[in-house]
Amino acid sequence: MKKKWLLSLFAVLLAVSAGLTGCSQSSSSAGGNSELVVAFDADVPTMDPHMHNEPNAITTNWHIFDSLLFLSRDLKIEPGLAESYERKDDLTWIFKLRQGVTFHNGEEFNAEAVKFSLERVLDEKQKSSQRGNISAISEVNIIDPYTVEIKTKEPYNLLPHRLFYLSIVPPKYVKEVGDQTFAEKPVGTGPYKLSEWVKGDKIVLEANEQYFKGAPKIGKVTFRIIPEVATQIAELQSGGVDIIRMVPPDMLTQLEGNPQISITSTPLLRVYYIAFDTTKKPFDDVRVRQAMNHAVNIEMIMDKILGGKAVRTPAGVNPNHFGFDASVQPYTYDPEKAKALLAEAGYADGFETELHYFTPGIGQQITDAVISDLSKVGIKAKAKFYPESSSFVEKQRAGDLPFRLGHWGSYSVYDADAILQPMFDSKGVYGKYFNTPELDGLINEARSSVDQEKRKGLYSQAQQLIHKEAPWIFLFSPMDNQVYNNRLKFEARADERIYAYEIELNQ
Amino acid sequence: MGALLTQVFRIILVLFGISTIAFFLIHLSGDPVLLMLPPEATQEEIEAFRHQMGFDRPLSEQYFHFLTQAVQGDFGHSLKFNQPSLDVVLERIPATLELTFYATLLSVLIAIPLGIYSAVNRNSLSENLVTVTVFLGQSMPIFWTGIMLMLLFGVKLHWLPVSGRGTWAHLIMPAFTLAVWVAPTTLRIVRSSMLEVLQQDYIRTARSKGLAEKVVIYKHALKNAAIPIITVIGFQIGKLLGGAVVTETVFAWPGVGQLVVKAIYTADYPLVQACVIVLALIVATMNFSVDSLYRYLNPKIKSG
Repeated sequence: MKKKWLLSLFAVLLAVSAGLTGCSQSSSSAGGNSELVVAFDADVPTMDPHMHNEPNAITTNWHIFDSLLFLSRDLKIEPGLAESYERKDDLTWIFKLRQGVTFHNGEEFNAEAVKFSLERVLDEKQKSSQRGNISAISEVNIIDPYTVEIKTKEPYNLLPHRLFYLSIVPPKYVKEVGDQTFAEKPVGTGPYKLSEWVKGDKIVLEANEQYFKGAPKIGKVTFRIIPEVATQIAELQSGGVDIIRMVPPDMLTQLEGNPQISITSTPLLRVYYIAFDTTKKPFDDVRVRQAMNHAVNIEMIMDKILGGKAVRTPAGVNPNHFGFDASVQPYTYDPEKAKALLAEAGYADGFETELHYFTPGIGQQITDAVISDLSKVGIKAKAKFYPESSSFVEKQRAGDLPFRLGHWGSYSVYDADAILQPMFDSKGVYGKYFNTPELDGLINEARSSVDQEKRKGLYSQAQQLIHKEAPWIFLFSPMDNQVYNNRLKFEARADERIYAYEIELNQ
Repeated sequence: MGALLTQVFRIILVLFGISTIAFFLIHLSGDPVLLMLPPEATQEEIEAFRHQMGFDRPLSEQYFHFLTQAVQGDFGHSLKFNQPSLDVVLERIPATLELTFYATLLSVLIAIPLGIYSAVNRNSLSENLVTVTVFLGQSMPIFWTGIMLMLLFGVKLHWLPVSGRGTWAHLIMPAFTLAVWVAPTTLRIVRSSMLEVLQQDYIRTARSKGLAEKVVIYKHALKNAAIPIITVIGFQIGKLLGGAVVTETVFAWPGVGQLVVKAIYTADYPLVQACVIVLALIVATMNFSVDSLYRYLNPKIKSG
């Protein structure tokens, strides 16, 4: 009898599975050797490249669309849809466009498309979240079908950097089908065309054989949406995906012995810091701030929490930022010196404070380590966790968090301005916490200057000043741990993107 | 007819309650505007966006607006997806229903035979074994069960795809994970109602007539034990939808569960509201159907 119901259970299971195969689309993931599968932690909100700021969507857009300029793997500006550009005067830039390029639907790429794309983002009615990126632009003029003039309101050095992420879209198509359809069925000039988007599940791209730089080597790219890291790792181990990124350091160990898998760690632009409100006691005393920099064993935190996969940022600026000054030495771990400085400042017995943070995961671990180190020099800090990042950000913006752990991604702009201006300029978003007229001057002079050597010098001065004034406990920049199947010839990019056009398969 | 109207009225009341809770909870948790805008946004941009989204109006007015729109099926635009929230949810509903349906089916296939078996062989060693095994399934966290199945059948044995949706093979592990989590409750009801029925006089009569034991159990006893079993299976649907939130995330199953987690995480309030209300509607309708079925099967209830 027992056997009989087991059998019938099995029969029903078979029937169920047969039914399912009939009704749902079967994914032909068996594929040839020219398919690449990449894991995404979340679906993209839209395929309209102008209507989001999401990392996964930017990666997707990169495959479907092109920009005027590219950023190479080693962060150099390269020609894209613009063959060349020059700065005519402080406010005027001329871009020479590539000829003979067509969008996936056959529409021609020209100056009209550039003007349309830039103005689309700038148009307030469009409500593009990328408007801030290029709001320095005052007008876009067509000189001839393959020459565009871009004018800025003020001298603006970062214009080329701001154009990497600005996709050029086909004006005729967008106007014809409307924004809603364009957001579902995008058409660009890029190396891949959208073939299928199963929301919440996967995005499938196929090679654009007519790509102006030459047809891609990999015929089909699939981005699979897998929210859970443990699942991503299981998929990688079973061969279901080829690349996963942002793997937490403590999960790398289970992958390390696997001969089919390689791990690569790329430095990120993101910078972790613990910021003081230098207008409030006891943080108004520079000796207290310096003491706290000496009190925390940052090398140990990097080692224990990040498995050594991090680099120090001695004055807040990331080594990947233009203008980083490698000669600024990080504060040494020296609790005795910290105690001496505290005593000098009149806090021989230490003080009590609250450390505010919201970052889940490593944020908690960093906070615990910092609090423990501070207690060794007599500072009693309590952790204050915000489960909602919005309430943290709200208070942070209002200037209500005197001692807080944060991190900053610089909006993927590889220039010291992208961190110094928002953090330390009195007009910056977090300018309330620390600013001096001297630093304001350096930051703003560098911002409006055209001469890159001069800017470098100004940023060096700024970093030396910041290091001495210690408005932060300077922490580090973590690395992005990317893990991939050895069948790929893969080199990670410094800008967090995965770009199939640059990837090859081993035979 | 009166009973039907009462039920419909109840569903409406439940939905109203759920929407109200969803609305106010969300507005207690910080300023969404700051999350939506880039960190470099100026104060003017923040104010403009706040105005555009209606967050600068009094809460009572926002609430009234929300309710009047919601009645018309409009839960506002999802902040992330830039399209009507309800559309985003409805796109994902089939995947969740599919998973819930097969998980229910699987749990029934596990619970009913095992429930009958343990009722018939009560207090035997094998019955104890069944009970222990099944309740182990319930006490393991869904997340853990999911990952363990994945590592065994996906990574080690390569029998099943690790995650995603597409073929029947993709469905087995997530449906099984949910099924072993809810099956024990059903099993317990099957066992106790079978035990009760088996002690009734007519069963004794049937046996004394010389009917085969199989016929007695399946034809006579199970039929009469069915009412509480059907009820509990129906109510399990709500629990399954809750479990689907975790299961869908673990197995990258593209349903509403996964969507609601992401929506909460990114403070996409209109989307959270739409998800919660649609799920509540499903649960309420399910309970309503179970109630009706119950009344139909057991006419005694009507008078009571």
